[in-house]
Amino acid sequence: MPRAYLGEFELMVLLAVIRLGDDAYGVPISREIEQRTGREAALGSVYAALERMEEKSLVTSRLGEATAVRGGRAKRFFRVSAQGLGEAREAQRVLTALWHGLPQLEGGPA
Amino acid sequence: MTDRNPPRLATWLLEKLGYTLHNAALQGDLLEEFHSGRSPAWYWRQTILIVARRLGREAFSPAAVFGVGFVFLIFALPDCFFWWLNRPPDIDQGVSALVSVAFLLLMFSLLRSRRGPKAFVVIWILWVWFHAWESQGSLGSRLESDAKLAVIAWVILAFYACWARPRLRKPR
Repeated sequence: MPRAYLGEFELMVLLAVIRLGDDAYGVPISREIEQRTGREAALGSVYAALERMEEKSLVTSRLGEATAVRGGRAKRFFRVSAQGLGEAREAQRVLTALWHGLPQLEGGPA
Repeated sequence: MTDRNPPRLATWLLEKLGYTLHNAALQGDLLEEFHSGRSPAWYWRQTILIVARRLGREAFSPAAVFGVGFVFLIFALPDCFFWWLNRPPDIDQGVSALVSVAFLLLMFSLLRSRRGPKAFVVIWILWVWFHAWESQGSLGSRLESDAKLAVIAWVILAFYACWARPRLRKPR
């Protein structure tokens, strides 16, 4: 079966999960993407991407503690799996290979 | 923590029509962000995005696609049959009716594929509407009514799926 490439937003979410480590749940993931990219990341979109990646076994999740500020609802923490790390490395390799040798993209923004 | 409460209608919509698998955690995240200073307009925007995404997903789920095809088939097949009995045979319309049934069967056979149903349902609805417009007052107008019924059933099925699934699926 041909391997499916990660979408741009899925890759951003995956990298945010790797970056945040043990503290990766919806709110910090969304904030991390917003801070690093300058683009708003809707929580619904973040969860949609996380659910797709969970189905592909790229991330795993566990329930955390419930707090009053969350209306008694528990946090769901995500962690990248070994397969997810492999996919991130593969995405980096593919993008770097495509970038390499393009004079139009060298020397910063036009 | 502040004493502010998020919009009640938005919270109710999230509860009933929101995301399936991690709905509770998503609602908790939205509340956490709201209590950290986000506005009610932000909360509403997030809610609408989540509900719209969910509705779109359910509308193209195999169950909804099968449901809309089944409703159309229930109404369209008797129409085709009685039209065939009561009118002198018209080769063009007869071929059109046969093509529509063949199209539906093809659609059902492709239900297992992930992207197939989306494309085929859209093409099928366009075809039925075009056919109805092309031959008004005949079999086409009946098929048009059938298609309208099927579209109504589609919307109802999508809402029902959103409403029912959070109760059927337990969070992992």
